[in-house]
Amino acid sequence: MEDEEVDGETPDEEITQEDALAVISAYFEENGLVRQKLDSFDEFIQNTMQEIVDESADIEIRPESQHNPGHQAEFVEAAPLSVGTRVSGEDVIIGKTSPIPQVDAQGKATRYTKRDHSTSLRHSESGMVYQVLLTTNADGLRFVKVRMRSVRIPQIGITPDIIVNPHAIPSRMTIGQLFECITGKVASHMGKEGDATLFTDVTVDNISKALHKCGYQMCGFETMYNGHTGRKLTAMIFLGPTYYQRLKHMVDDKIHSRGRGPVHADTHQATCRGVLARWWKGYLTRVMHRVHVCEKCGIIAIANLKKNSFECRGCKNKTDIVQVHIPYACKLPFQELMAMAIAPRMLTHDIKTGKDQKKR
Amino acid sequence: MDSQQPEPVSYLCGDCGAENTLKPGDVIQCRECGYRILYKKRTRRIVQYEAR
Repeated sequence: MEDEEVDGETPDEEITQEDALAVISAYFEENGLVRQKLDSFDEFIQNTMQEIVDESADIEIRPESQHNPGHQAEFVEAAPLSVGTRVSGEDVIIGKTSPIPQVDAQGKATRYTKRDHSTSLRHSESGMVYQVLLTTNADGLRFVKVRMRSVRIPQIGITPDIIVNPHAIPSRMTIGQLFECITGKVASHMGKEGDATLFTDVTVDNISKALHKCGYQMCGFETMYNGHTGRKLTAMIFLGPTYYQRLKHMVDDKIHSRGRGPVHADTHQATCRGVLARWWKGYLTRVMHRVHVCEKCGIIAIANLKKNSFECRGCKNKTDIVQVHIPYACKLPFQELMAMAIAPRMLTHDIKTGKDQKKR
Repeated sequence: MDSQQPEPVSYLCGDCGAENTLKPGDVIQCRECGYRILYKKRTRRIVQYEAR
């Protein structure tokens, strides 16, 4: 039997999660689990918090006891645990005492009346206090939840010369921008115009010298201080003006949607762009558009239907205006032509005898 | 131990956001709306984290 099983196994059989668990549990059974790390929030509430609540309702929240780092010396001067403060290994997070029965087994009165049951941070952990919640549970017992957060520290170890989004290098011509920025700093200080065109005789060295004359360090770096604490930053920082124009991407320019027409069978989305464009073409020729046209010049006039006022600015004509229905796809190129200073005239006179509203 | 004067600590109500000052032994309940969850306020000390 056993031989068969061994033969049946292929040497590169996949290691499953159960195998991993078997190894891990064997290890723990042998060595004894020292401390179980509870990282799941649910578990945390179920175990840690419930323990605290069950053991004793007597949680004393005294301001001075709410934060005492392990050392006694620090204990006195330490401020109470409050949101935003830094805590590190073995600091007491929740200060709690429980009463000791006054008469012990030997029958003599104990020296102390209370036992410390404070919850402290694991010695390996550190971070800042993110939230302190204080409430009572259904049985009226007080409990505290303290949420900790580890503060992330940039693991660089060097002072960067410049921090730039790598996407900006090829398309945004960032090198020119940097040059512009340093030139702009000189120009704004001297009150002069500067030319930051690349590949000219103006070099960064020249600009640096000019900056130095303005009273700056050669590269234009400035010493900065933390506004909250007044502590000097280790790195010097360059500040300079940058001119830019905003590229606006607006939704209306980008919508290529329609409510009807052919859609993909699976996704219910419009199929390809070509189909969409052709559909729009047909749609726009079908959709009629109402415009008001000056009878004198044949150009679209200003109409205010609410005030019932019509005006052709070019002819100073406010009376001879007619209403015309044209396809939307016709109105569109008309306006494009007008934008190019070509006048598309819709002359309505000669046909007007038959029916009063007709297009040229 | 330092002086045993109970220094009141102010908390914010989890529901209405009102400020409550609590002394040891007080019932944990908002005075404005009766909500029973209170949050501690952010420290007024100036803190700067060491970026190593």
